[in-house]
Amino acid sequence: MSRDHRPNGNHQNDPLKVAVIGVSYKSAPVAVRERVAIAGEERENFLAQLRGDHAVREAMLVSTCNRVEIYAAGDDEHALVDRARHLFASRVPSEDIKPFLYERRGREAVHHVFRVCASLDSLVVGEPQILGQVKEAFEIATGCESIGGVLTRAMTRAFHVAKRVRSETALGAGQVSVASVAVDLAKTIYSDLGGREVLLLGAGEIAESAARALKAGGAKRILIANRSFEKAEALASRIEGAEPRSLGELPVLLEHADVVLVSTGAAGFVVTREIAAAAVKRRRGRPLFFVDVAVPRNVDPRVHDLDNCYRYDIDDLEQIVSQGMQERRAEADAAERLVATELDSYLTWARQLEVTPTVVAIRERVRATLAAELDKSLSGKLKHLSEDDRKALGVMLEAAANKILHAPTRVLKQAMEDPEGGAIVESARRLFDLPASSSSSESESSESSDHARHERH
Amino acid sequence: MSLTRVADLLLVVTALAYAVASGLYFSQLAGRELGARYARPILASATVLHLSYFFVTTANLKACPVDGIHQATSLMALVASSIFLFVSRVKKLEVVGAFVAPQALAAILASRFVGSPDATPGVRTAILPLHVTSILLASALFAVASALAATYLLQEKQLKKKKTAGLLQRLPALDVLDRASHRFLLAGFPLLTIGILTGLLWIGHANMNKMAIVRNVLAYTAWILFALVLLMRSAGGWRGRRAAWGTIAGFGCAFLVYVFYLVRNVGAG
Repeated sequence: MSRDHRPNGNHQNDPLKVAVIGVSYKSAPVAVRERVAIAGEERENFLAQLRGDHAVREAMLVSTCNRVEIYAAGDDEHALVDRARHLFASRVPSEDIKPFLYERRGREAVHHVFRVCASLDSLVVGEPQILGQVKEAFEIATGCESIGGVLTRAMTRAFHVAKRVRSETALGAGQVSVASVAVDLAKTIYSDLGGREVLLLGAGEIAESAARALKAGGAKRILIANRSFEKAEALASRIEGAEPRSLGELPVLLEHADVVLVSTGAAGFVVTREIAAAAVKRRRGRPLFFVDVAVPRNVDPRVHDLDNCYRYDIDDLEQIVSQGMQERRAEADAAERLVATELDSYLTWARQLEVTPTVVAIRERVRATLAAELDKSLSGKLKHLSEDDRKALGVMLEAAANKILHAPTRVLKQAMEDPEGGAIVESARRLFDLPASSSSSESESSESSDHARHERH
Repeated sequence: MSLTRVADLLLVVTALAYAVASGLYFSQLAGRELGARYARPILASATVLHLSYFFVTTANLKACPVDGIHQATSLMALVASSIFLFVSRVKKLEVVGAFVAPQALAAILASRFVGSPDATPGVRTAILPLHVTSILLASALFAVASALAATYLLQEKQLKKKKTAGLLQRLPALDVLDRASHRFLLAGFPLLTIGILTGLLWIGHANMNKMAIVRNVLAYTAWILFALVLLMRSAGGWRGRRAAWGTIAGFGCAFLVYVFYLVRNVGAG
C-alpha cells in the first residue's frame, strides 16, 4: 500500500508532478546555508509542516553542509514551490533568503535529483558522501510517512543512476584533497596505518584536517608537536588518541614516527637533512615518510635522497590533486551523458504510465458504446435478423471500431516519445470524455516502495 | 601416442600458458581490467599443466624426479609458481606474478632445451636426492623472494621519482613487499644451507672440472649473499632497497648455478 492516504487527486501518481526548491553552495554563501539548515529531529517536524498543506502530497528534505533542498510531489508544482518558499521564509526572513532560493519543476526537478545523487552537483564532483546523505534523507521521509509512490520511484531511479555512474565511469577516481592524497601516499609505504605512529609538526588548521584524514585512514597513534605546547595540547584534546609533545623532542620523535606531517609557520627548515639522516640511521631501515605542507617549506628537500626516506611537499601533493580533478572533469562528461540517458528513459516510462491507460480507456469506451447501440438495435428494429446476421453485424462493428481507433492509438503511442506528449494525452481524454489521467495503481506504488527498500539495502 | 610426444605437447601448451599469464600480469600492472581478471586463472592452469608435464616426463625418463638437474629445474619452477599462487591469494600480492610467471616460463624452457635432458650426474650417492630436493625447494622460495624484491624496487622507484599516477597505486605497499621477501628468504636459507652441506659431502666423489669449480663458487656466493642480507637486516638494519638488491643478486647466482648444470654436457658429446 502507498503511504499516501489522502484522497486521490487528478495527478496523484504522475511521476513528473514534482518540484525541488532550496539553496546550495552554488546559490548561497555558508552564512545563509547555516541559517536554513535543518538538523536532527527538526527535520521530521519540518516535513510534517510541509505536508500540512494540501498541495504537498509527498516531501523529503536533504540538509547537508553544502545544500538544503526540499523534494516534493503534488498535483500542482507551482503550489508545491509556494508552500516550500513559505516554510523557508518562516525560518529566515523572506527578503534574506529569496535571492538565494532556486527551484526546479517536473523534468528539470528529476534531472536535478539524478545529478545530485550522482555527485555531479557536488562541490567536489564525484565525492561519495552525498549519496549516503540523500539516502538518509529518504529513510527519514519514509520513516515519518511523508513519502509515497511518486518520490519513491524518482529516488529509487536516482539511486540506480548514482550506482551506474560510480560503476561505469571513473568519476570518483583520484584524490581531490591534499589530506586524502597524503593518506593515500602513506598507504603505498605502509599497508596499514593502524599500527603506525603519526607525528604532526605544527598545530594549525592544516594539521587538524590532516590529522582527521589520517585518523579516518586508520591511524591510531597521533603525536602533535608544536613550538607552543599549549596549542599542541589544545589540538590533541580535539582528536581522539592524539598526544601533545614538545618540538624540542624532535630527534627522538623522528626515531619512532612513521609518517610525519609538517605544517609549522617556521621560516626555515625544521627538519634538516642532518636531523633526518640521524633519525634514519637510528631507525634501522624502517621507512620514514615526510609530508611537508608548509609554505615556506619546513623539510629540507634533500631528505628525499636518503635511503628509506620519502618527502613530498605541497607542490607534489597539489599536482596529484590537480591530476585527480582533471580525471574527474574528464569523467564528468561521460557521467552527464549517462544521467541524460537515464532521464530520457525515466521520462518515456513516465509518459507511458499516462498513455497506456488512456489508450485502453478509449478503446473500452468506443467498444462499450457500439455494443450498447448494437444491443438496442437488435432488440428493436433489427430483431428480425438471424443469428448469423447478428454475428456478422458484431464482427463488422468490431472491425470498424479498430479502424477508427487505429490513428488515435498511433498518435498517442508517438506521444510517449514526445516531451510535450502530455498535452496530446489530455486532449484525447477530453475528446472521448474520459476522466483526467490517474495513471498508476496503488499496487505499483507499493511495489516501487518495496523496490526502493531493496535498493537501499 | 608415445610418452615423448605427449610430454612435448604438454610442454608447448604449458609454455604458452605461462607466456599468456606473463602478458596478463604485465597488463594488470598497466592497469588493464583484462589482466586483473584472467592472469591468476591462467597461471593456475599453467601450473596444473606443468604438473602433468612433470609427471609425464618423469614416467618417460623412468628416473627419480630429483635425480637429474633438468627435472629439478622444471620442478623448481613448478614449486615456485605453486607457492606464489597460494601466497598471492592470502597476501594480495597478485601483481608480483609479473615476475614469477616469466621466471617459470624461462625455467621450463631451459629444462627442456638447454643441455641434454637425459644428462644424469656422473656420480650417484644416497645423499643426492636430499641435496637436489633441498636446493630446488630453496631455489623456488628464493625465486618468489626475488620477484617480491623486484616489485619492491619498482614501487620504491615510483615513490622516489614521485610518479604517483597509475602504477604506484596498483603495486602493494613497500612494507608488505619487504616483509614477504624477507620471510621467503628466511624459509629458503636453511634449505640452501642443507643443499650446500650435502654438496660438500658429495663433492669428494665428483669430477672437478673448471665448470664445476665455477658452479660451486656461484653457489657459495649465493649462500654468502643471502646470509649477508639476513645478517645485515637483523644486525645493521638493512631493509628495503639494499635487502632487495641483495636478494635479487643471490637469486641471480643461484639461477646461474642451474644454467651451468644444464649446459655442463653441452659439447661433451
